[in-house]
Amino acid sequence: MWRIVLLGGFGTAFALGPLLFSGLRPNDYKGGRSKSIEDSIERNTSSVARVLGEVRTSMSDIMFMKTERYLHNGIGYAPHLTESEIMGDAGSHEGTATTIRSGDSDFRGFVGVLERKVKPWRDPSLPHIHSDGAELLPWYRLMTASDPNCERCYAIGGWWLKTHNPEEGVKFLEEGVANNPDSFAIRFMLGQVLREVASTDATTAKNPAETGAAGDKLLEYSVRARDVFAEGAEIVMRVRYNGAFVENKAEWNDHVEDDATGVCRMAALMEEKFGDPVKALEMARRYHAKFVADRPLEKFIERVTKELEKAP
Amino acid sequence: MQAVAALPINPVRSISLVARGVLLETIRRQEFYVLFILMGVYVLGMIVTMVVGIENKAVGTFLLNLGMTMAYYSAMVLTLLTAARQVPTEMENRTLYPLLGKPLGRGEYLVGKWLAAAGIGATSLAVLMALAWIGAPRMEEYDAMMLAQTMILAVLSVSMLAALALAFSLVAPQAVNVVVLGLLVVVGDAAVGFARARAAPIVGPSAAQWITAYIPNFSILDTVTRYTDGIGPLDGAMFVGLAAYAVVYTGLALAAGAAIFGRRSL
Repeated sequence: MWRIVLLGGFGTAFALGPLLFSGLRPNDYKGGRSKSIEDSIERNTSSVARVLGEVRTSMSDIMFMKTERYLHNGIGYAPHLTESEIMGDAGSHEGTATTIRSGDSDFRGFVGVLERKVKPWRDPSLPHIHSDGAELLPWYRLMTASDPNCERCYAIGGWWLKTHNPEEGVKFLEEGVANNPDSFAIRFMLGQVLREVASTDATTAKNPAETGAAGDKLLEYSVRARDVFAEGAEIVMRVRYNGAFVENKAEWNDHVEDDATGVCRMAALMEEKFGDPVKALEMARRYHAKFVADRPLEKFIERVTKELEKAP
Repeated sequence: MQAVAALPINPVRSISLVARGVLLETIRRQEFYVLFILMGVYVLGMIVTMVVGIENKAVGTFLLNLGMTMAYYSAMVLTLLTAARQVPTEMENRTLYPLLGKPLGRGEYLVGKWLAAAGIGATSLAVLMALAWIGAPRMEEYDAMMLAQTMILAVLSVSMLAALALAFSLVAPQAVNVVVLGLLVVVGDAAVGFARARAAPIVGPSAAQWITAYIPNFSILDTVTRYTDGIGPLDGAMFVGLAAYAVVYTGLALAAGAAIFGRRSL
């Protein structure tokens, strides 16, 4: 009898499990050292990471390394994560060491020559050749499927998808927004992709006043982009501290700040173009009060104020 | 003269005797020595690293995370291997039949086995975690309450795995049981997320979410990275919910296992 009671009790709780336990996500939190880009750079450039070789220091790093490998057509390069390393002399990263040593620094002799011949390898002094990103897309799908809260994966994956299939990029980023309702970074990227779709589809239409299907499409996607930017900006208003940017204050690094300022600037700009310029000016003033020192917003406020004064 | 069958049998004593048998067998097999040697290598590596010097705090935190994660997964592996082999091995060696010929219920037998497997897992978890925690450099702030919660949830995770491995061992071959549960422990969250994403366009997002939520999710009970990330403790409701999640799966696996085992023809 007690077995039936126990089985019934646990069975009922199990059957209702998706309802009872759906909110249990102890590892969904903002910030954290494992997710910090600065910490990741420190870890991956340490001797520990060198000892671990290509394993690097986290699963997300492994996935990103895979995308990097595909981006470089199979050639393995040492991590180049800092801004100066990424940009290089001309944005082509030459000088970054390959994981397979080059001839002048390889002590292995014939074995090294053989490895460079049979494996993808390129002289590290030459500029990197980047693929068009198509091979990267499944990795971003895999990353977001396994971790729906990976904002970085959605944002970068959406950016790559934009160049191949902007409509799919929009769907991918909308999924990201649904899974991460408080993410302004994904909204920033979604707004940009929506603008891209609008400009791609409206090859003949240059402004929303034009008639016809192209003009309608431009208006529809531009208005959607405006709304998405505005939502993102409101999130920034809620989650960012007041005042000028302070490096790493409350896990707020320069990458986060770039997305935050970007989404606010675009929200004001798109409101001016596809909405109400008076409202756009109010928005810009509110955003500027939050950031205190943001030159593009200041210039926007000056310009729109003058234009509104001139208007009849 | 009183018949043997009429002797009053204390179920607690029966369970503890079965559990004791498993513990003695585990000590005889010496599997856990391998894990301790592996952790010893890690601790040795930590000592060398600290002598050489750690460049920054981020690396220190990474090493702490690596050690604690290794300890958690090592304990899970030991628990899985111990629990999955209990019933099949006893049936293969035919030691089960004389045991059940004694005044011992099948449910009690199963609970005894679970208690021992979970106990072995929890003990090795505590020792390995202690080695990892003491051995690793702690160069940043970590929350002590979060550490306590991490340990409790890890013990519950080990108990849940032991119960599921015992229940599955009654319906699946030992190798299949170890591989399936091992995959659930290691990549369960990613695999479930992927299955959910693939199923959503076919059955709808809500249905996909609901169906895949039944798959045991060990990753929500692993909060090691939350601890090393310096995040504060879980709130009461979340912690109780996670504990209840583990208890429900453990209880259901044991109750279902007892029901299957009770009706099984040996």
